[in-house]
Amino acid sequence: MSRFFATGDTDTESSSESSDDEPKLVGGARGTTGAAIGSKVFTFSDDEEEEKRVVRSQKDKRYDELRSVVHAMKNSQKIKDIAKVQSSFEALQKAFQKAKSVVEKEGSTPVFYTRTLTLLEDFVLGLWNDKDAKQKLSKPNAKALTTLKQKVRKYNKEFEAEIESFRENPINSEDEREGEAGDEKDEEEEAEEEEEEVEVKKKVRIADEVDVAPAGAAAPAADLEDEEDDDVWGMLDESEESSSEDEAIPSGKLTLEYFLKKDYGKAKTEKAQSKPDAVQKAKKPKEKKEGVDEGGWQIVPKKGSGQLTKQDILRLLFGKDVKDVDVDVDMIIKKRNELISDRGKKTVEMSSLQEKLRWLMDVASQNSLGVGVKLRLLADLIETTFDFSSVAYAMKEDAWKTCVDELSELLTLLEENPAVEYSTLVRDDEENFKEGEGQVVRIQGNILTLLERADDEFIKILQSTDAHSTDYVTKLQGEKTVCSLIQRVQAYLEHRLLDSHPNVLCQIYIRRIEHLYYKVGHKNLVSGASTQAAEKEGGEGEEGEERETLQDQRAEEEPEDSLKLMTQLTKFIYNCQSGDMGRIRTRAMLCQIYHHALHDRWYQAKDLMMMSHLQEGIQHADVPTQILYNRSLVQLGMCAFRHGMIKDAHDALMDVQSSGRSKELLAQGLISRHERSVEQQKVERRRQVPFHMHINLELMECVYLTSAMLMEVPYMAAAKTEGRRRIISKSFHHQLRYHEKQPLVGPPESMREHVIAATHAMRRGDWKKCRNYILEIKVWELFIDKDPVKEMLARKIQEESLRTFIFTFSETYDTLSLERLSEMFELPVKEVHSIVSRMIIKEELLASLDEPTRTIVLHHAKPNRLQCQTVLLAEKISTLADHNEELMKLKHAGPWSVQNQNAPFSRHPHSNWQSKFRRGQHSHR
Amino acid sequence: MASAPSGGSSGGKPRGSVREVKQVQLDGSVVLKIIKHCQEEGSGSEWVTGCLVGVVVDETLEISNCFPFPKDSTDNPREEIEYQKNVLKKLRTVNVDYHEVGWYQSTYLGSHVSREFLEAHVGYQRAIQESVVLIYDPLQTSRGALSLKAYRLTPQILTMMGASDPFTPESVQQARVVHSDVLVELPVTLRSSRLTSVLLQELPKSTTLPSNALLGLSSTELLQKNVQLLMENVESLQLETYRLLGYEKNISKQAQQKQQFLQRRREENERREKTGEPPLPMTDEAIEQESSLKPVVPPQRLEALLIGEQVDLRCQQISEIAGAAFAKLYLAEGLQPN
Repeated sequence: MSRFFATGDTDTESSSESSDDEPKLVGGARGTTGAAIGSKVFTFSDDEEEEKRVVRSQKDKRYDELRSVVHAMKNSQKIKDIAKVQSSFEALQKAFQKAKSVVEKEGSTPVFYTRTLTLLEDFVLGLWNDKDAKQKLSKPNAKALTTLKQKVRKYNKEFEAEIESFRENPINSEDEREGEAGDEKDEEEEAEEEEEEVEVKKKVRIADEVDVAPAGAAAPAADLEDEEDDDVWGMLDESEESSSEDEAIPSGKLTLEYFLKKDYGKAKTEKAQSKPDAVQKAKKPKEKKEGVDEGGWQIVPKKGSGQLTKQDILRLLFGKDVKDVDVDVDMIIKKRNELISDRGKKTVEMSSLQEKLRWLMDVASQNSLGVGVKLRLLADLIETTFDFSSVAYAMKEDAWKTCVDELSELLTLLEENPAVEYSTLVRDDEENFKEGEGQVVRIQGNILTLLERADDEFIKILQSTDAHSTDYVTKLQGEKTVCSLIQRVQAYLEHRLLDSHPNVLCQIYIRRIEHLYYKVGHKNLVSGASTQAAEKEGGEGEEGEERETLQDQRAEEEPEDSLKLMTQLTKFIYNCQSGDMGRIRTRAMLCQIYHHALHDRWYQAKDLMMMSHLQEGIQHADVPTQILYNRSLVQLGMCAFRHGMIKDAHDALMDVQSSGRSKELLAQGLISRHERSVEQQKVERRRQVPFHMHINLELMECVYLTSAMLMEVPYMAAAKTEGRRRIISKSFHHQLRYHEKQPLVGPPESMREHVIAATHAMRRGDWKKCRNYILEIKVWELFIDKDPVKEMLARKIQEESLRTFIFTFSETYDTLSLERLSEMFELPVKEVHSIVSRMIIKEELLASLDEPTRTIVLHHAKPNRLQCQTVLLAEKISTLADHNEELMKLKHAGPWSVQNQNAPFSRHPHSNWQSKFRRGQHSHR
Repeated sequence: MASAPSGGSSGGKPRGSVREVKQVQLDGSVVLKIIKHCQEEGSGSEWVTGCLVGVVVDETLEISNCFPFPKDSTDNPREEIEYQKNVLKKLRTVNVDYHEVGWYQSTYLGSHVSREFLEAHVGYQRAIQESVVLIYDPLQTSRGALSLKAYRLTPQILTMMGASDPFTPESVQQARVVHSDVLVELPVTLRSSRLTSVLLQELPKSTTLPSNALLGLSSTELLQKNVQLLMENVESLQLETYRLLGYEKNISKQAQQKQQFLQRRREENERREKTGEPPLPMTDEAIEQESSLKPVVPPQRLEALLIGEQVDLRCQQISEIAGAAFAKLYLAEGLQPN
């Protein structure tokens, strides 16, 4: 090896830095290509002559065979005799097949073979892509090219890994070659030869590349002749060389590198800079990480990419002889079509495609080719971006931002040029990019789809971000952009379509609505400003901040009343008659309910919910809609609570809360379950609602438990004499039982403990403690208008405590003074009077009011235990009788009558309401 | 009633004429022994059991002696049997009645009718045809009304217990067994020796009755407990009914499916006939195999029968208590000065 370095040094007399880099490089090369080659080198140089002979007879015979074929092929490549190339390719395959046993023994494919394959592939592809050259080919040659291309691609698949590594690290070939050289030659000789070869190979390599490069456009015009000279020279040289010694395969890359480096480092000619494949290589991030020597290949495009002149770009795009002025719309469009036809192919890299499109756009704008072209290219750019985004993973934020910027630019163009027709109705062949002379620019595309994709991607970005990081807040700022985009698209579409395509308008409206419904309107904010300030001071965690940022946005962008806007949008959707609108209509309705509920318009929200009959069909809706339904229902429940409708709040929240799966039902978090497969989990993850739209689960639970407490405690007190009583809220009882099991009860800490402690206080009749416990709960702060809510709560607690007190102690008293009660519970006498009257009317309390003395006279006519039991027994027996009757019917009337008649055991009068609110169970199985 | 050819009476001792026992005569000492045993050993709802010894005279089963079973020996039934044998042997050596004629059990408010109870007595009645079971209710007795009841199993139940598929809804229906056919209560008479009678005659002179328990007006608690238990029974009965209902529904559903399958099979066979292929089998087994219809597991009706019997007994008890209470109330009313 060291000897080889010596020669290397002598070769590159000029560049000292490259020789400094040398050792590292080789080390790296050896490291990557495996010990086989390296060790072979040593073996050959150190081992005995006899042993070499043995090896040679087995291996080199085959290899020589291969080499000769390779050589022949190379020559035919030079003269572009494709048919010959093809035949030698086939011969090569056969020879390799023969050599296979040897190859297997070696453990790796010989590098020269890989190299040949790589070069062949480049050659074929280059020729294929270069239309001019292709046209020049004779008919049999063209035909051969097609077949060869397919064959090469197919064959090369087997050697994908090798080719890849070769492309990354072409130096391998040098090692190999060197080893081969060492095989036969003396060291001195070799050094000389090396020098010579290097010269030769540089030329050859360049020649190769010129061939390979599409259209040979790489070289600047000035260098072109030079190149051609080189080409000829290279060929000549090579033939000389090949005649002199068969194993010396051209294109030693290492040496070439030196020269290239020298070239670029000193002269900085643009030769290689503009080579498209070099440019392409630069884009592969992998290569950047490669050894220093690779830097020689790399530095070029790095420097070059910044310096790409207009001329270069033109050449890259259209071939060598295009002048700036010549560029016209047709050319651009032709090139664009060419590029776009590659869309979706695996071989095409997104970044390169996009870069080319960007160049095209630059060229177009420099030559002021009109809006049409620009629009087309912009749309293509956006579309390709989305092409490459996967379903499961979010785009990079930067990519998304650029994409949105482009979208906005596109929109601006559309807004500025109202005459342009940009819609799906334009067919491929109807597209027109030229303006003027009565022609209208017509472009195929759908701004709405693009927007929807951008929006979806935004949500994906948010989903993939940790919701509790500042990163999320930063990313959330994109919401503003999205909203404004939606607004603009909406305006544009409204303007364009008028009323001709209501369903398209509906689609954009529903987008708008879905970005609107969960946000608290500006007006409410102003009223709740004091609360906000308090929250700020309290510094109460991300949730608060989250809201603030959102609300700030809102304040800026939504000066108008969101209610008005919401009504207007939904009304349009409801009125839209065209078919297939069911889902949009449902979603719009749910959003409106949510919005109403969020803004404390309880009656509107409730009426809409009840009148829409959504609950009947929601089981059949798609899962996201069901989630939305659950969200709306929860919001409705919270709204009811704020309005003091405790029972409604409880009923609305019960289904979501009591299942214990509220997280899942609202899509606000994943529950890891074993029965879910990975696929299902992925799907579920995609469904998650972004964090800023979350409904606070703790607040929801708190509302639910508090409502349950307010209903359950008096009921428990009233029903204590009866044997077994109905349970209003199971989860509340669960909490209660759990708490009673605790061996040691400390002061309440969590929200649940507070509610339970309040429950116990209320049962004792200690309403003040109860109130304090409840009001201590922190989550109430999350209500925007929390003070009235707290007031309402305090009042409800007083009332319910009074009821509980009367129920609990009615047996002990003969009479109760209203004044005394009002003192005890700090309620006005009138209020106490009305509560007691209500209890008497509902027959919950057996008593009468004595007006003159203002007392309650209690009638002690409570049934004793035996009586209660008897009543219960009677109930049970009647059920038994029912069952028996059913059995009789079954026996006598046969199966048919029973199936149609399902005995409704309406348990209590609320079941109706509950069934109306029955939540759409979204099961993933 | 004719002598029942009760199944499996192989173990019966060679007694002269096997005749159906119609009544039970208890020796006073037996009653006292049972009460003593129960008071000393049994507490609350814990049951005590023991063996009855006596002789059959015509249609009367005279029980002259008894001895308790050891407690907590259920782990080793052999030990229990050994103990029983030993005691009987010893009794023989002292030349008293040593023929085993049944067993006794204490009960809590008459809730003794259970599967275990039934199975235990089936064993007895198969081994010793004339055997009875005495049920003693300490709670009732402590309130002043001695409650001792003798029961025997009906021959229907005995045959059914021995049948291959006992107590499926069909077999119960065929045997025409209802809950009242499970147990037969035999009248119990108490007999004291002359000497005892004389002693009892003498007693009131020296002692007064210890309490006025007999005249206590409050029967609420007892009633409450009874109603509570009755409620539980009704609940389990309801469950049984529900099970039966489910079974019937399944049966009819399956019959329907079977019909459909047959229909299809018939059509298929018609088609096959036309094409000349051999027809598919239409037998029940083939259908069962091919149509993957699994036979519905019939629910056990024994529980239902027993619960029915239990409910019946309890109702009797309640009406007894209530009747007594009414009588007492009228008495009290009459005594009240208006």
